[in-house]
Formats: sequence, C-alpha cells, structure tokens
Amino acid sequence: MSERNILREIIQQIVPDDTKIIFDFETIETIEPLMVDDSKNRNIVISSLEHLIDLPKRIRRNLYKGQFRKTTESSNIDSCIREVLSLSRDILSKEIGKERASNWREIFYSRIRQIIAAEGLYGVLNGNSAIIEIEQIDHKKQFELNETLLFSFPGDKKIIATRKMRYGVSALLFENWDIMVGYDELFSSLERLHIASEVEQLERKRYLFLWADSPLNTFSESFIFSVFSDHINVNRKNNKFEAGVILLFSTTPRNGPLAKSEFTSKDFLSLQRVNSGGTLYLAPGFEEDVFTKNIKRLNRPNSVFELDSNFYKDVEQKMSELELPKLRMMKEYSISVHEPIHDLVEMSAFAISSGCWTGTWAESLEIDGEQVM
Amino acid sequence: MKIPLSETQSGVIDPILRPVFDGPQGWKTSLLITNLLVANSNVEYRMAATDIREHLAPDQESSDSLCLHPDWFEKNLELYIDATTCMFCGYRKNCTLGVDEREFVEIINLDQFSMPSMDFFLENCFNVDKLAPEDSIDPFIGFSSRAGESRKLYLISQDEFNRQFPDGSQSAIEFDAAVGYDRITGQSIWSMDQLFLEVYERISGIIKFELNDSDRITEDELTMLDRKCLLQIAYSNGWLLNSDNDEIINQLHILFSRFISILKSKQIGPFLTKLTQINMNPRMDTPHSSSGSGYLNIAIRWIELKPSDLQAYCNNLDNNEDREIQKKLVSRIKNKILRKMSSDSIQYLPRFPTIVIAPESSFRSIKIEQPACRIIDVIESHTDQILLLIDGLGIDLLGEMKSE
Repeated sequence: MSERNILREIIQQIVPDDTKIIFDFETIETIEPLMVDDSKNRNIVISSLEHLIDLPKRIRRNLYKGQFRKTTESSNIDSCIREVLSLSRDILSKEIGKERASNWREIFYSRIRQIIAAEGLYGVLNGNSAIIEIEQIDHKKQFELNETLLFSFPGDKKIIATRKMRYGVSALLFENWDIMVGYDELFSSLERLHIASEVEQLERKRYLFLWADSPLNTFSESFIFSVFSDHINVNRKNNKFEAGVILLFSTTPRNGPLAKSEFTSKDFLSLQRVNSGGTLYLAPGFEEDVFTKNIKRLNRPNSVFELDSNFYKDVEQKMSELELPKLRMMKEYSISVHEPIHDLVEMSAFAISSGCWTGTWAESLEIDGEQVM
Repeated sequence: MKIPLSETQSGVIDPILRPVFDGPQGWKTSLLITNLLVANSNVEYRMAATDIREHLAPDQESSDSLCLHPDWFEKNLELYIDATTCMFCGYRKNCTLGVDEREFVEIINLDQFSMPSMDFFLENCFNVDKLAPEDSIDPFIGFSSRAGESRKLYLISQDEFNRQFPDGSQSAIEFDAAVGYDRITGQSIWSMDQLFLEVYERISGIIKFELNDSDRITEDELTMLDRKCLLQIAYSNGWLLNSDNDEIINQLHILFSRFISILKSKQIGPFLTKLTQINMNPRMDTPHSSSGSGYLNIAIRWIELKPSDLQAYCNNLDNNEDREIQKKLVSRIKNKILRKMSSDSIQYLPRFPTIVIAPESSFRSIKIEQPACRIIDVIESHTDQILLLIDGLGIDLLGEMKSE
C-alpha cells in the first residue's frame, strides 16, 4: 500500500466525519494530496517537520487575517466587532461626550483583541473576560429565573435586555430577550457577532507535523494507527489552533541503510518548538529478545524498557545518534509500549508524539498573552 | 532600504528621461529655469513654469499621460507629459502624479554588515501567503498592531543583538510564553510579571523591610505546596545546593515567608489581592516549571526581577547566626544587574517578533526563543552570519542603542 493510502486510511478512521484533511502539498514529498471537501469545518493540516519552524507565524496570521482581508462581507468578524464598538460608543457619547467615548472605544477594541488572542472568538461573548454577562435572580416561589443581559461599559455594566426563564427550560444565548429602550441596535449587533463567531469557531485547525526515518509502509500499521489515534484524540484540547508532532523511527539494524540517520538542519531547528511532556511509543519487532527469550517475554511490557533489553538499548542509541536528548521534548515524557495482536512485524520501531508551541496563550487560564505589553 | 507592502500603483510615471532639443543656442531650458528661480511674484513664477512646461512637452505619441493640474498654469491646455516634463515642472512639489502612496517598511541596518538585496527580502520575507493570497504580504501580521502599515524594521546580527540584549536568566528557562524583556537584569518578563510590575511601580515607595521582633523566625506563610514548589525552583536556580543541610532550607523558607508577609501587609496587601488570586500556569504565566500560591509566585518573581529589594532586605538583617545563613542565601539568590540604564532608555521592552536570515550551516546554533525576541520564521540565505529582522513594535531601536 502506498504511503498516501496508509495515512489516508488511518486518519480517516480516527477523525470525525466532518473533518477536512489537508496535506501541505508542497512540503511532504512522498504523500499526494487527498480529496479536500470544502463543506467540512474541522481541519487537520499535515505538513513535513521543517514547516513547524514558522508555525506561530501561520497561526497568528490566521487569527488576525480578518483585520487585513479586503472584504466587506457583513458576516466578517472584524466588521461585526467594529459595529458593536461603534454602536456602544454612540450610546456612551450621550453620557460622557464624544471625545471620551471615542477614547473608550479604542481601549475597548484593544481589550477585544486581547480576548481573541488568548481565548479565541468564543471568549468575546463567553467566560470571565466576555464583554457581556448574564446575571440571574432566582425567584424560587415562582419557579422561574429572571435574567439580565449586561454590557460592559466603562466603569459599570448596563442592562441591555431582560428575560424570564422557567426552570428546566433552556434558551440560546440571544433567545427570548426583552430589549431595553435604546439598546435595540446594540443587541442586534451583538447577536450578529455571536452568529458570526459561531461560524468562525467551527474552523478549528490542528496542525500535525510528521517525520519518519523510513517509508511509512515499513512500520506496523497498527503501530502508526495507535500513535496517530492517541495524538489526535487523547491530546485533544478545546483550542482553536492545536499543533503537534509525530516522529517515527526504526531501530532494527537490517533496515538501517534505508533509514535516515539524521535530521536536516531545518528539521532539527523545528524540533525546538516541540513541548516537553510527550509520549514515547515503543514497538519491538518479533525478533527482539523480549519476544525470543522466555523470561523477558513473560515480563512484558516492563522488560521492553528495562536497561538490559536489546531493543531499549537500540532506542537509546538511535536517540543519541539523532541528538534527541538535547531537546526539551525529551523531558518529562511518558512511555507506552505497543504490542500488536495481528500485525507484529520484524522491524522494531519507536515514535515520539508531543504538542508544540503555537504562539498563542490559549493554555493560560487568565492572561491575555503578549497583548499586555 | 524601503520595501513596498503592496503592488505597484498605476499613475506612477516611468522615470526614464528624454533628450530635449534645446534650441539653436542650446541653452533654452537653462534660461527658462533661471526665469523660474528668479521669479519675484506668484504670477512671474507661474508664467515661467508655463513656459518650461510648453518647452519640455513631449510628442503625443511618446507621452505617458496627461497633466493632472492644467488649471494651475497660465495657458489652460490639455498637455501631454512625461518624466522629463514633470522633473522640471514648477508645480511638481504639489503635484499628486507619481506620488507613491503605498505603505512601505524601511529596513534599518543596526550593524556593520552588507544587507541582503531587496529582491531577497521580497522573495523570502515579504511574499504572498499561498493559503490567503488576499492578505497583506507583511510577515508580522498578528504580531504587530502596525503590520500592513508603513514603519521601520531593524536588521541586526545575532552577536550584536546578544550584546545589546543579553540573557540574564538564572536557569535554563523556556521563553516561549514570555512577553517582554527587562534590560536591567536581562531577564524575560512573563504575563504575570507584567501585572506585578505595574503594581510595583505604585507601591515601591511604601515597601518596608524593617523586621519587628515578631517577624524574627517564622515560616508560617508557606503552605506545603508552596514549600515543594519553592524547593524545586530553588534547586533549579542554584539557590540551594545538593550539599545544603536542613538549616539552610529552613532559612530559605523563612526568607520567602518574610517577603510574602510584606506582600500581605496592610500597606501593600490591598494592591495585590486580585493579582494573587489569579490562576498561574507554570511556564505560561510564570517562567518556572512549577507553581505555588499566588503570593509565593509573586514573591519569587519579585526577588528575581528586583534584586535591589533583596539587598535592601539584607541590609536590615542584624548579625545573629540565623541572619548569617540568610545573608549567605541572599548572596546566592541575588541576581546580577547587567547594566544601568540612562533616563532616556526604556527598561521594559516587548519581546520583538523576529525573522532569522542565516546560512543553513548555522541553523543548529539558532535559538528560536530568545529572552528578548521570538523567532517567527527562519530564512536560508548566503549571508556569512545570523541576521535578525526585527519589528520594533513602535520602539525606535536605533535610538535605544544610541542612548546606551
């Protein structure tokens, strides 16, 4: 089976049906592009390792592209935000004057940019930093809740709409509100922003950077499946942009001449972006002592990574040859042993899977990233 | 070197000059220009300008375009023009034809090396994103609020950059999430540091290090989690050595308890309450790989970022035996002050987004996260050294380096 088919089949088994798989065509030499379905909103972009080097640039360009795109589409997020800002400024200027309201608009725009940088669009209308807030008053006797929708004006929050909710009945964020006098346009504008951000949020991207020292079809299929499956599903977070790397290595000497014996300088440089705390997957082939010697065989999986295991020695040697111990990705990793039931192959292999720094502060619970500077 | 951030505009005249037949004597143009220069009034100036325009007008076939301001001249004719006409035109200073209104970035060389060519920059740094060809070609989109607009970028060698912005970190730290750089201590600043430093500017005048009798020996301010976290950081930073006995570890606890008690004091506490309640993720909001209570995290960064306060604390210790151990600890902890700043200089800088231009042979020596800059791309070149193309984020780096 060709390399592209191996990857295609494996990834399509792992990801949900509505996921678009994009191969970074120009960069991955041995893989031809898959069919791309534009109706799908979740994306996995697979690239060769060297393209990890400019990942923060790609991601931040993606995050901020709306501000630079020459478009007048009304559903454009940036235009929705600007509309909210202009309407709220107009309301505010009646109270504090045009000049102060304009100054506030600039500050407020920066705040929204910070929220987007740190939490994505979701954070603009949801969560602790959101520009709106829903306050609930529980009237237990009437079995209903009174909710007020507050908008963050400077200094205090103003009620722009109210609604009554019966116990056990749920409503969408902008559903069933009685809008306060003078706030109709602002409310509609917030609603448009909400719809636009819902659409935008569907466009999540996971970047996967791949490197293998041998052709993919020489590895056990179940091993590759296991590594990819873990990488995509177990490490899934709720961020708009996620990135990770999968490195596949063979260790058996007879496959040695075929295997790449070093990273290119750009590949090695790219590995600096890989985070610590990944997983080392070990997959000994059927000729290894952990299968051929009875005691070791019985002690599996522990015997696989015991120091006197020939396979583990090969793994360490290969890591050393490739200068992997110099990298932070080799800190705090966990080990997983892969033993296939039906496709145990002769070639021994190991893989490293880990997340990468994306250039956003999505992992921070509180901070809006570099925008504070 | 100026690099346009968009395609060439129409209306820019081809700047090729044309030979002019200058009359039998060969000095007509000179005479007309002299008339223009010696004009005593607006009327005389306009007349002289009209004469020059008529004299230098090209044939209709060889013309680039029509004059945009025929009304200004004495004779209101539709006149064909080209680069030669416009070069000597009396209205040239106010004419809009040929004025390039595109946004540009200007690359300033901060060092003594020959810059790569303009073509190199256009092909490798300022190229169109294939996935979003309608976007600006500015590579700093998403990193600089002025991306896509005219501004200065700076080119500097890695060696000179290291000299200007040295690494004063106490241990091996991952800089990915750092947001700024302190030029006095040479340390990166994380998001939480930034918030703390803002408060610090307001409270620095009221911090008191005098110890009361009741402050003498106490480590009550540290939780079990704090102690574990503090030990981890202390060993990693070299504040504690493997050979240290329990007494030294105990004194370290006391030292940090004291700083926390200062942070909780009546004078300072109210300024910090909100900050200490924030969730601080290790390596993300703070530089260290472990995190304790908000007060401990802030106390550690306070000591690391403001070494002069540690000295002030030390000066208030008397000479009994415990104090000697504390002084020994303080001497280990005390961070180096790498430089003194002139009042014109900026102490806290943002971490600059940077593109590396370097020969492939030097790729393995590049650090893509540095204390004062974050590398967003690496471009292979035939230069003989590692160059950094920096967006100063509104800071005049040339001026900053001169003021040092």
